Amino acid sequence: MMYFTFLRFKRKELSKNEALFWFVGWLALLFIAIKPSALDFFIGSLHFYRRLDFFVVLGFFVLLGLGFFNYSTVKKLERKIEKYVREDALQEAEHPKNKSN
Amino acid sequence: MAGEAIVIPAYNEGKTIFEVLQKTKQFSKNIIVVDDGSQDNTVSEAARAEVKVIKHKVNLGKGAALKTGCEYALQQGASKIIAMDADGQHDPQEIPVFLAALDQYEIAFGSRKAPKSMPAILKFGNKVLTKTLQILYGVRVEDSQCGYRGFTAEAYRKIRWEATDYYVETEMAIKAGKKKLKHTTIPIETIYADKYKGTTVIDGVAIVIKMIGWKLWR
Repeated sequence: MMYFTFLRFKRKELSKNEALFWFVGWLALLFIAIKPSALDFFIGSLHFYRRLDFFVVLGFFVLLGLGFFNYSTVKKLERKIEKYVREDALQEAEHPKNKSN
Repeated sequence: MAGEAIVIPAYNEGKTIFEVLQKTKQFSKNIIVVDDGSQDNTVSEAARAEVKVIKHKVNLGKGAALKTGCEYALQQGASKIIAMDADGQHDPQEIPVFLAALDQYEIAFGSRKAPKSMPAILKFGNKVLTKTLQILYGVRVEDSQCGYRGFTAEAYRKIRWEATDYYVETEMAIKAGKKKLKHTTIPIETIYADKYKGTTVIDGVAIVIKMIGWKLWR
C-alpha cells in the first residue's frame, strides 16, 4: 500500500500532506502487525480482555467513521451536482444554444 | 409570462407527455416541462407540443425538476404556479379549479378520490403517510403525496424546498404548515395507467423516516 501511496503522490493525485498522512498510517499498521504487544498498554488501560477484542472495537469505530465520511461526501457532491444541473438547465432555458425548443 | 404557469416535471414519459400537453394547452398556454434527464423521447415529444422545455442533463429527482420549473416560472413573472404530473394521472380540466382557489388561498392541495384503479398498496401507503404528517406536524392535508398542487408565487418563495426526490410533496406541506399559509384541499380525479411509476414502498418508508428526522432535528 505504501508503494501505491507513493505512486499516487508521484502522479500528483495526492498532495504532500495527504501522502504523509497515509504513509504514517501504513507505517503504524506495519509496526502493529510486527509488534502487536506495543499496544498492550492501551489495551490494558481500556480493560479489553484480548488484543483481538480491541481491534474489533477499533474496526467498528473506523468503519463508522468512514461511513459517516462517505455519507457526508456523497451528500456534498449531490448538492453540488444538483446546483450545477439546475443552474445549467435554467441558463439554457433563458439563452438556448439551438432553436430546437 | 404574467398570470399562471403550469409546471410539469417529466422523467421517461415519452408515451404520455404529448397527449397530456395537448390537453393541458386547452387550459393554459404557459406550460413548462422540466425533463429530468430522460433516456426516452420525452424531450422531443414535449417539444412537438410546442411548450417550453427545460432539460436537466442528469436525473436529479422529481423535487429538483419541480424546483427548476418553479424557478423558471418565477423568472418569467408567473403569479400562480400549478404543478402536475406528466404521466396523465392528473386531469388538466381541474386547472381552472386550482387557479380559482388561488384567488383566495396561497396553496391548493389536490386530494385523490382513491378510485378502484388505485393500487391497494398505494391507498394504504397514502393513508399512513398522510396520518404521520398530520400527527407529527398538525398539517391538515388530506393527501400528502398528491402531486397536483397550486400555489401563488409568493407562497412558493416561502416554501422553497430542499428535497430532490418524492419527499417534495411532504416538505411542501410541512413548510406550508410552519409558515401558516392559507391553504385548501381540492378533490381530484386520478387515472392510474402505470402501477410501476411514482412513489414506491421504499420511497414511502424513506419519507416517514425523513418526517420523523425533521421533527426531531429541525
